[in-house]
Amino acid sequence: MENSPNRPAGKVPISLIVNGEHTEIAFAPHKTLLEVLREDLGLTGTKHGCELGECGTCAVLMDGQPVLSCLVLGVACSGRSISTVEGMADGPTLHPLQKAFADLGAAQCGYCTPGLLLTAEALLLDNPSPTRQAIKEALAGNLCRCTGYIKIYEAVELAAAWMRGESAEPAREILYGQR
Amino acid sequence: MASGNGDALRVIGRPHRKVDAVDKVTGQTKFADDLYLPQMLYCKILRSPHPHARITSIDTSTAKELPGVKGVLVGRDIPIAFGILPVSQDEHALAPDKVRFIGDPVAAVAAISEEIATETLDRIHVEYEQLDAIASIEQALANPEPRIHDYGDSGNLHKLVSLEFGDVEEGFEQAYLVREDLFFYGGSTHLPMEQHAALASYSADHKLTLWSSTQTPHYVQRALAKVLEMPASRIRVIACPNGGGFGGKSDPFSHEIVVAKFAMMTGRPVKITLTREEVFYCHRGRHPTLMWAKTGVTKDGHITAMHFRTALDGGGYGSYGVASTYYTGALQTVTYQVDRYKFQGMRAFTNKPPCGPKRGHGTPQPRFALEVQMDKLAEQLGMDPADMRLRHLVPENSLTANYLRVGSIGLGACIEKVVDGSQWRDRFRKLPEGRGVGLACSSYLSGAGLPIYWNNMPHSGVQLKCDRGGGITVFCGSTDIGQGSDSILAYIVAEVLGVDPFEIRIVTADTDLTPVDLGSYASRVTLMSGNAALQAAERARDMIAPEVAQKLDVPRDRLVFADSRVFDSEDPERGMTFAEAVQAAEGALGTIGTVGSYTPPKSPGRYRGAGVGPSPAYSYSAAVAEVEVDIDSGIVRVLKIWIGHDIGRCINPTTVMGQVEGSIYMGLGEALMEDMEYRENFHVVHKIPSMLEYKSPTTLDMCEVETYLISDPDPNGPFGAKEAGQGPLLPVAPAVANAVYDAVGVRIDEVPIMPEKVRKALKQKASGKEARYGPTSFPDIPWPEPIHVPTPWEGGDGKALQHEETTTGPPPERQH
Amino acid sequence: MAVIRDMIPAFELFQPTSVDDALSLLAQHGDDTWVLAGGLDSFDWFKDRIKRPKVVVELSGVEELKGIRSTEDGVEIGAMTTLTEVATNSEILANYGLLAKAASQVATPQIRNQGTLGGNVSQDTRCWYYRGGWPCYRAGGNICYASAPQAMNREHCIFGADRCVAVNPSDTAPTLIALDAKMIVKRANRERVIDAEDFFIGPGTDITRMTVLRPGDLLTSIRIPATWAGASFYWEKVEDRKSWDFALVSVARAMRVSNGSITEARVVVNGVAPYPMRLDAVEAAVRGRPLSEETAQMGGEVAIRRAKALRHNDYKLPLIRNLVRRALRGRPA
Repeated sequence: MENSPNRPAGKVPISLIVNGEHTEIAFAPHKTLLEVLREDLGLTGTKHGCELGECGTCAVLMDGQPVLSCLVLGVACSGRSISTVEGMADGPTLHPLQKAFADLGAAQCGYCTPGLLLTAEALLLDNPSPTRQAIKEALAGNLCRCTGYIKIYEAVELAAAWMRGESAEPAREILYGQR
Repeated sequence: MASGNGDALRVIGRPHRKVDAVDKVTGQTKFADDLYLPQMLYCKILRSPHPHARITSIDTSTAKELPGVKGVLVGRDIPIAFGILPVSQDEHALAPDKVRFIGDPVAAVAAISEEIATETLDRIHVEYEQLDAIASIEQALANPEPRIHDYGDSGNLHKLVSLEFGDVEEGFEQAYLVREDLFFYGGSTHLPMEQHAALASYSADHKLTLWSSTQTPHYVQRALAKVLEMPASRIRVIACPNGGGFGGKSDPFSHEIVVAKFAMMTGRPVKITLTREEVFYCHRGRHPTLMWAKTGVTKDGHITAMHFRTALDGGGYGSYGVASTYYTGALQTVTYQVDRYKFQGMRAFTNKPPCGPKRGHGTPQPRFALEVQMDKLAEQLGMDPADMRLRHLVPENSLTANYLRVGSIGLGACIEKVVDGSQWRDRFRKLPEGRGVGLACSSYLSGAGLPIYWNNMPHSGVQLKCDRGGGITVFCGSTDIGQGSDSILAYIVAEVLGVDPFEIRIVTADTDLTPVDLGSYASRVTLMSGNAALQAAERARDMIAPEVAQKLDVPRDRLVFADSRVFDSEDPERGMTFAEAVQAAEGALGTIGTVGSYTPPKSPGRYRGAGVGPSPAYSYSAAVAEVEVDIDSGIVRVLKIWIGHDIGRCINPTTVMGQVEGSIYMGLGEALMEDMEYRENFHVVHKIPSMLEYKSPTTLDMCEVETYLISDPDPNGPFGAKEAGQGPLLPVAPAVANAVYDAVGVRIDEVPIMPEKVRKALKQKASGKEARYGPTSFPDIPWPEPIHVPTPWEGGDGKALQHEETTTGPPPERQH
Repeated sequence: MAVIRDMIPAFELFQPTSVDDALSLLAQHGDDTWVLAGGLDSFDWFKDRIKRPKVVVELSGVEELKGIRSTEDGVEIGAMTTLTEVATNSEILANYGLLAKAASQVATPQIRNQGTLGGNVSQDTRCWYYRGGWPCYRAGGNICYASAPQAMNREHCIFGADRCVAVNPSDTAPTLIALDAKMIVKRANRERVIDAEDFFIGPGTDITRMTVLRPGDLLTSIRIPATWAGASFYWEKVEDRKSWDFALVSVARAMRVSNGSITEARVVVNGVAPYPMRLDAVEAAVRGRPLSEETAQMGGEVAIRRAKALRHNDYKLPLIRNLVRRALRGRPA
């Protein structure tokens, strides 16, 4: 980095909270949060699909709100709390959304999955019983090329039910199709 | 069934998680760009800003001197050509003398940081002598010069195909009604969420390892061996899990070769991750295809003859294009009986990113044409389009006019399901203005009958190891691109050996560790690697069972492998754990390992071109689309799609559902909004290579889907399974077009069905002109004399008529 | 152009914590300074390396630029207030629902969480020739690629072309004009209050800018007077996809009706001109008219009177005509 023709030497130190842990880190001021997470913190669970805010793949939570990490400067995260997919599970216990995504095949290639999981997590914290339309609107900034979103909606609905304390099971047609 | 464990299937046919699901939902899956090695260098590629130009000079001297730069490569450094097909070895890792599209790789840099590599590209000075660019099929026909390539059938026509099965003119004479229609299917791209990435490392003992987001590690290994002039035995290609492929990661790519070369030069690991813009340049997407279809039918809709012409806009390189061309004519015959069939196809070279195999490879375009034409024919005959199709389905276990062997066909059940589900009979032609329903059907391969390069070896191999702790490891060259192929191996082996699929370790897509599987394309993996896994597992069971039978003193045929035990079906208490069973076998036989492999059955077609189209099994789909059309703006909204898919048998119904729903999604995008648009002025650069301008449907654009999975086990599939990943895409666009007609009475014979086109057609209709939008002419193409092949019902034997070439030995064109 | 970049080149970064500090930084560094708000528009330019400012003033630390306050005469919205806050604020929802509705349809949920109202109105045009780095008029050259005979100009303007045919992409801008909002613009020692309608400029005024903002200027807040509080509002945006996309065309309308007649209306369209365009002729034509289908039909015709289509955007004429008709039919937003 220091040898780069156009780069002023010098990194900016900041402290922030990543997945609940205080983190001190220094990096060049023009680095995006996405780059800081993946390259400086080794948290490669956050993916990238365009780096221009056009796909939603790199979504993370900043103070609980979904944002696109490719469009946030790392330095703008000083003092903020960032949640990535690596922080979703409680030790070996999957978050209900993670479990539902796994159970229903809502993750196919899995590349858009971290961004979708985090965006859905923010939705369910805000609205524990979202309608199908509310789910669509909340996830309208996350492209998925594999699933057609349907298994994703079903997984969010299933996870929401679990998080409300209901012992829900997926309907037969979700698993087997219509008779 | 093949499990030999009684009738009850314990794993197959039930919903399961995928074996990699937990890694994917926790962010632990390592995609290629997630890999970092010590001392790793970063690579960037300089690409052509011109669509067609000769490179007159490249000056890399200042670039090489920059601090942090560890290597610069240009075309002459990697002079050997490559390409996915043996007949189209027309690509270079970096263009040595000529560029053929905007984005064609010209030079590359490896540096200690991505930043430096990026900045260094500006210090490479390339001088070009611009050549006239060929932007379209019409321009390629009109301008044989300047030639984009110095090979091909003539001028800028890469490939010309002409085949005739029976005498179509005779068929048209017998027809009650003959229609000629023109169609155009626009280009689209795969747009995997993951940008292609590759990482190469070269060890001091001269072994090369490449990790890449590729669907075809075996073919990448072959290309590397050729271009780098190294024995394949020293090259290890590891396909990382693909963040989506859809066919876009099936070619060996320039960037894979470049990082390998840099690793060899520098002795350091080298990584490249393409930007989204570069992914658009890699392309290999759907060929824009102009089509002319002439079909004759009897009064009740039986097809007496079909003559189909296609013209494909191929882009700057061959890629899979020869296969794509044949595919635009191959599968017209496998849904409805076609008595006589003639196909003429042409692929043009143009100065655009190369087209290749996208989900459905070459078949969605003609399927769109055929299914819309069927709708028109049915209307003219006064028949319900569902009834017309149902009446003339290809019979099971039959040969088509072009010698494709159809085994099981569940299309009738698919049609009936969607007709009932959508209440078709109460709604077709009965909905209010602005609302409509449309029906279309399709078929696709479950793997191609022939490999991409001529050989007589298996298409898929599996090795299976059982250890004395009861562990099972399955090794297979297949590549999981999200479709769940790793899981299929686990489910099948688990079924046969009676263990939990999540107890099995799966090692795939590593040319050092796994036997060859040709790759994740042509919907081949479930059927082919599934059959190989089934064979390996059955062989393991057959090694273990006799020893257990002896130990337990139970007849072999009473043994059941289930619940991680091997036991007597008549006295389940009498048994042992699977681990104990392996120990018994290992004690008697030594280490327990088996292999399985799969080679597709020989196809009966023996004419030149017969290599494209055969498959061990064909899947079938039928779809009804319901649309709403805004008459003022022409905006089409697809409300719902009912789809019936003939899957043979579901290995895992939930993942099949996912494949079907995902296919509908991609088909919907192609039907309505996805378009590889090129600016006409200032050369032919892609309109804007970004995910904002390339319209992939969002959650708010996706329609409702109702899926019916039709079970009709095919004898060639593992447990009867056929494909699901591509076929269900095909009926979407024609079903939507037919529904638009039902809604507002205009024919949109062109995909994507954009509001502007609908509006123009509505305008035409209002002014009393033809209520249609679509192409109005098909160019004159210098077709070669067709190869005449008598149909099976004329006593043909699959060979072309004499004095025309027949195949002896490896035919030059045979691909998936 | 085969630019192929996705990393931001280095710049000198300042993160002021007050408006005064921000203004003095802007004054000090002059033309090479870039004001970074939510970053949604800026990052695109930076990563493509088409705009390479030496100095970036990043405003996320300036608390006084954030938030929504009631004033004696309406409401004042800090320029750094996110679109999500604008879309969900109870006072805006209650009295100025037009703005809330438009803000709720900008791009995607994530982008609304990051993007600011100030950024949304200040963003640059999306003309892809210009954004692709082509040396067009707007970029300081002497040609418009988008109006060339074979240009792809489906998204471009049908009104107000003056060498450049790009359109203003903002969803909130037309609603602010309809609500008669005032833009508060500060520079070192001066504060200006500018009518929203005058904030946006066309190529005839300055072809390189979309707004009156010059280097050194800072849009600090947007005041919405109570004039139109609780009026009848209509908002509609037509886009290719139901999420993410910029408007092909949009219409914002505020209206007061008395005894079945339109007493006053402000009708603003966007996506059709280089600036959000107030349809004065339509407003004049419908004033005093009964709220009727006839009035709506007439208003729609008036809306497109001076329109001139390019090769690929004649669809915008009927679209605008129909949107204006729908707006005048008086359905609520």
